[in-house]
Amino acid sequence: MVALRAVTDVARPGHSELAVLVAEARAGDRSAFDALVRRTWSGTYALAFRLTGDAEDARDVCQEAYLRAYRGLRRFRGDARFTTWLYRITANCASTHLGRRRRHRHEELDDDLELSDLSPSIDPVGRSESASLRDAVQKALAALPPKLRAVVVLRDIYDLSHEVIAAELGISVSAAKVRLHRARHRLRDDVFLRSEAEGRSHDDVDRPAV
Amino acid sequence: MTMSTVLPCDRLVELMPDFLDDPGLLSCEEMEHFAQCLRCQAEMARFRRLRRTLASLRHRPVPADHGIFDDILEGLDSAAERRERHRVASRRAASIVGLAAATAAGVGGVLVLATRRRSA
Repeated sequence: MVALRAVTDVARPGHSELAVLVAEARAGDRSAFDALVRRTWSGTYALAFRLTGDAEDARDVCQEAYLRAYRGLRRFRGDARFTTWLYRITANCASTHLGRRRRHRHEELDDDLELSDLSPSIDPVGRSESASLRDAVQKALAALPPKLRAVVVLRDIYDLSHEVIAAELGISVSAAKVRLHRARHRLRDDVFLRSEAEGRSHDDVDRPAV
Repeated sequence: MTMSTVLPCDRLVELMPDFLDDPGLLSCEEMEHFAQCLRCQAEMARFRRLRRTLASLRHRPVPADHGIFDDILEGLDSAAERRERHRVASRRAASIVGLAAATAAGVGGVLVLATRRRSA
């Protein structure tokens, strides 16, 4: 049985620390690149997992992303954060990976994401409400078609610009905006409207017949 | 007649996902409707809540096998080895080509000298 641990980019590495490592890695220091991987892999994996919705795919995407980053490190000019640059590469790898997968298997990736919460907030009431909303949002995200999921993950979770998203997914900016529009509507429907409709139908069942 | 009967809420709800990124998207008339219409405000609150929740996911934990880190390093090692092998092979090929060229030049030189000597 494989030991699992929760990874997150909560413990975000310092940007200056990363910048020093990037400079050393660009100068050819492989151990500096290994240190960069150690500090960033959990966040990269989390993004890959959110984009693909599958642990094995995320693993492949993550590996491919670091290979590309290693090969392309000399092209990294340092005008963006290293993690943002890495996220762009990861998004691009995930897009390629999912495209290849669809061509070969003709299937949609919509496995349920099972995410765990290891850092509960202090307020128990707010926690239970926000936790249930978070669960609902994660389920709705997992149920989105991969193309819609990719734009909403990159825009609303990782705060990338429309232009960057379009470039990394190989689509036009207007297509990225259209996909985001549709994704947000579908999430709203799944998270709020469907649960309300289900709540109403439960009420109807519970109400005694007159 | 109120503004909400003039401007259908459905049209505004349709615009709301884009309004999150670009608050200047709504016209003055639509903004006026929005300020008066509780239904539209409730819908907008849903979209904002959705977006806040999505943003909060960025720092939420994702279960992962720690072996992924080792796999990444292994992948990098293999790539570095492949690159090194390719570099050595290229250098060897270049040496062979150089040697062949030098041999050909030497043979050519000897032939030229022999031809000149014979003609002299």
